[in-house]
Amino acid sequence: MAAIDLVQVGVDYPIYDSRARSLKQAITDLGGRLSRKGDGGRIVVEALRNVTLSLRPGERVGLIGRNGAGKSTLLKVLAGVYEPAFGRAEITGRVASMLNVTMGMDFEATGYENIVIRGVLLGMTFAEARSRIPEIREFTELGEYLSLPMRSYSSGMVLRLAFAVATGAESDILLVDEIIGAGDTGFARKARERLETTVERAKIMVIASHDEGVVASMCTRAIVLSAGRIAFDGPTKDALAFYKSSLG
Amino acid sequence: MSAWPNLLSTAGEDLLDAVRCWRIWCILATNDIKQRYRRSLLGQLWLTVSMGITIAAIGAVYSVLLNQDPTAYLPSLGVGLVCWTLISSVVIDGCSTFVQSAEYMGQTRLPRSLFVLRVLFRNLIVFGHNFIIVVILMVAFAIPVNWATLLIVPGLMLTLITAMWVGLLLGTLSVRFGDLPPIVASFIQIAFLVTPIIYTPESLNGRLWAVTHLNPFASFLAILREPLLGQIPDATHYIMAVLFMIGGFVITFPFFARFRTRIVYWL
Repeated sequence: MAAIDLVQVGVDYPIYDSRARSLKQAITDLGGRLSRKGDGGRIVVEALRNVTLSLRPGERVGLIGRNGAGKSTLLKVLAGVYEPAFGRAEITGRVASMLNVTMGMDFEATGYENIVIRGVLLGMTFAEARSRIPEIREFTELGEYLSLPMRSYSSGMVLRLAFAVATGAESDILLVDEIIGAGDTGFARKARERLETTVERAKIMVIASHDEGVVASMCTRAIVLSAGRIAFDGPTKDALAFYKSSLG
Repeated sequence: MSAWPNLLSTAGEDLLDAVRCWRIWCILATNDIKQRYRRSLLGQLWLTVSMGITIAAIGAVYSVLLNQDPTAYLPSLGVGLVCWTLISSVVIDGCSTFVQSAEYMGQTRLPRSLFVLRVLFRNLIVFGHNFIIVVILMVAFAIPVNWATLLIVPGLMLTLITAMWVGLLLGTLSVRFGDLPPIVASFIQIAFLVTPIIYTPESLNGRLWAVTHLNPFASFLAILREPLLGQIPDATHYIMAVLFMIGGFVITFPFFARFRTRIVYWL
């Protein structure tokens, strides 16, 4: 079972500077509140407002919008990272997020160790995580490098390994933040194929991208976000047309 | 905002889920230790070596200074320092629980209390390495191993369960208030001086009753150290430890339930 239901979701980021973070400020704030009876003038960024949407199995959804429109925040709500301050978010199913593919990778540890660490973080047993080694070794073409610390890798090699580890895990809901252009053209094609099979296996996929081509080719439905609100939600073609016209 | 029963039950689930994800905190804690000593020859044995050097140095100076018989003083000091290191580092490390795990918390919906277990397990591994010194002292000074020794098990359980709420509370507060970790660190330094570690509780001769009986650090130290020295700790220490453990949870659990979802916004 995989389903996503958001009802009137709102997310605020409170901004604390070093002054507001200090205990001294908190204590003086208490004193201040007694006299002013108002709020302390805390700055809040409204990242999402009144977002209502339901996603069901089979849907391939693209999130489009300008920088700061709320795409990443919405992905993080779907990933269960942010429990919204307003409204309700119900996410059923095993979520795999490719928000930051290098998450949890230790550059001092070897490639092999990182495969196991990341696998366990994805919810595998130690044996399951180790069993992925041959397949990942073959896909990344890293060979003997896997027994070296990751700090000795080139940035392209890091990305190959991170991408291979993040994809290929079983999930009901797949969340992707921008497709990474991994390495040389030969590898980029392989990476694209691997992502496609991962997407096919997932029941629901949500991808945030600036690349209209990616959204047009991979998604059945697209949501245009603007200033934290849903500006358009519908078939990909219409959404892209709406987005283009809104850009002027 | 959700209602209290709802908040409390999701916080409870968070704790249970964290225990169920034991593989994750085990591998993160193990990797934390490996990472520290990755490029050294002795590796994590440095933990044991540096503790041994500290005990030898303090033991040599203070047995003379305090006019103590080294054969009685050294085991008490050595075992005391090993146990104190566990107690003090779960408190100090507890402050960095969430700050240090920001990367994971900002990407996944792993239970929050999982990161507290990571800190506890990491310090338990360090304790395991330092335990080599306890064994050496036991053999060298012929410390009796008897039924009292087994009391280390409840002693450790009480300490670690208490450390759980300490980590939840200090970890959450430290994310919001950056001044807390240095305050806690200096507080622990004072606690080290007013807890009978370098001097023995007996050398107080019943003076400064508060130091040994109203000081939770002294009670936790006693329920860890005395079993390892083949002695049965005073019942008052167990009463103090249990009260401190329960009292802390009564305060911390609603606090954690209330702010659990906010932690990630503060990071």
